[in-house]
Amino acid sequence: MILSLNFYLVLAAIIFCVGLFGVLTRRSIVIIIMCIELMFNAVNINFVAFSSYLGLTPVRGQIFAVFVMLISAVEMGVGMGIALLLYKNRTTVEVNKINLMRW
Amino acid sequence: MGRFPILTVTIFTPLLGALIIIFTPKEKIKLIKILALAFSSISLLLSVILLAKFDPYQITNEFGKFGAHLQFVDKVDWIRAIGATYFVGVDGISLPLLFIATLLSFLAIIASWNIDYRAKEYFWLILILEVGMIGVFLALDFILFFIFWEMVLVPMYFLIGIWGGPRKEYAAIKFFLYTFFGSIFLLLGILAVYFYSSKLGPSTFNMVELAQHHAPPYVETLAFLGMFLGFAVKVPMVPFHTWLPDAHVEAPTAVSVLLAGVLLKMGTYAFVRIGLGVVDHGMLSVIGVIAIMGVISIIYGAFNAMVQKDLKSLVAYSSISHMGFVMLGIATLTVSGTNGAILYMFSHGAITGMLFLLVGLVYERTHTRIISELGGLFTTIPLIAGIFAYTAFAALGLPSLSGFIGELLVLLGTFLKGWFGLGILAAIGIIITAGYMLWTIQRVCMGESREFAGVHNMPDADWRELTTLIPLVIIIFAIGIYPMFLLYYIKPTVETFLTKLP
Repeated sequence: MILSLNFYLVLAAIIFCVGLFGVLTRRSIVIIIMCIELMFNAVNINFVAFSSYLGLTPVRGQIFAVFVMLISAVEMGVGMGIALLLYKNRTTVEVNKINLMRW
Repeated sequence: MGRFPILTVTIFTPLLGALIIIFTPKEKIKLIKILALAFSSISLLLSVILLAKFDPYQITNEFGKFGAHLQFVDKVDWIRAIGATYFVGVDGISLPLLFIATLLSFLAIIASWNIDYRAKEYFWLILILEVGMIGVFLALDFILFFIFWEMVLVPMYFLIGIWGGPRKEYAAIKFFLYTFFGSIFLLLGILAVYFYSSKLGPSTFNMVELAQHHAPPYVETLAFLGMFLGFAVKVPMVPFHTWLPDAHVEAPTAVSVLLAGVLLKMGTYAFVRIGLGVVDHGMLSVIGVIAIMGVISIIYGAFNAMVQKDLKSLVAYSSISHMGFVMLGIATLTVSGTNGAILYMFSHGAITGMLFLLVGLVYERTHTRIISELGGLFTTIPLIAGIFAYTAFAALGLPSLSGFIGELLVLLGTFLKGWFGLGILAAIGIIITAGYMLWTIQRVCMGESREFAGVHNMPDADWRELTTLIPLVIIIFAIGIYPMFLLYYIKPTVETFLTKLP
């Protein structure tokens, strides 16, 4: 059958929700960063699907997908660096235990 | 561009200062403080130069009625793909607010001279906060405006959360989430206006162009409602004000000064600049509701202030009450009402800034802010208590001090518009303000001094602390005696601005 736009949007929504669930429930900061990356990828699927099905010029969706990939790469780098320093200082990566600014 | 880009330099000098402070070693605390003071004073100097060189009667046709009085404009194409320009300019509405922002930042840095715990982070956070504050008043492109609007949130979160009082983490996260939630709706409103601007050419975020082309009425009303939520949380207007007492009480002194003195004005300024400027059809459809909410803020804030036990939260609720006056003045859509609102924004920045500075000074000496534990300050620290009484008189609107002029003009506008009920309620609000302010002076300054920690050898204000207070004392008196000092800048712009409304 011919795939319409809706399939891609639903796929992106499902992946986004999986990523969101992971961010909210996982305990390890490394896994949380990975789930944030999942959300970025879901958004990328959305962008590329829209640009492919709507056929605009210039292909804004794909250009923006490149932007998003770049930003997610940089953010992963910084996030992993923070996770590393966190482990060096507190010898734990569980977010429950890193609670200096909780009230 | 042959002209010196004075506005860009004013906005970004504190950012340069923050970067330099980040690279100084954290042991050199004295150097860090001097650097922060130096960079903040450059911004202050530039804003004073702007005050001197601004010509309020010069009109330009480049920017339509919205920007007829814009001067010192820096306009550069920024992100052409989405239509964002780097567009900053100053006119009579933003100039007084720019001045109070730079002045209060300078005074706040002097007032924070005793911060030694993690001083480096504190001072570069304050400088980034200053960049955000100045940028909001000068930005004329929605993306730029939104960036600066959000730029104040993160430094504020850390400033309250690390150097604050007992419940600092709670207050910090409450402030951040509350204001951020409002800003999301502001972003939705901005995007709505952006997408509907594509009818006549490429869609743009430029406020000047958006002011000239209006979206269909229902779209503009919805967009304004989104923006209203964002601005109303910042002002704050009464149902959305609950972050304010927590944030103010738990914040350190200088941060409270900046929060009350400048951040609250960002909300009301945005109502004038964006509400009346860009989405005016949308705002006019709900203007009566805004006026009523303003009066509710006045009365509710005043009554709440009457029953507070903590001096700082009393001042916080009085801020809510005074911002209700400003919203009432904006909602009248008359020249005198809007003049009064903008003048009251400026004078409230000075008055409430001074109140928080004084409360901070009293707290440093007595280690308590609970009113029932304080007393007899006229005998023990007469200078501070005297200035505190002076500021309380200014807050309640004593004639010959600047609060009176603002309240008078706002009430004039209300009665000109025919809203007698709201005007009477606002005047009753002034009476209640007088009530709690005078009662506070009586309880805190007069009477016998109680036994609290260190009461017998409390030093009065030293010259550093007086330096933070004297400029504001002079400004409040000068504007109160001769408001034309400020109205000279505000009036021509407001008159042209309001002719644009249907």
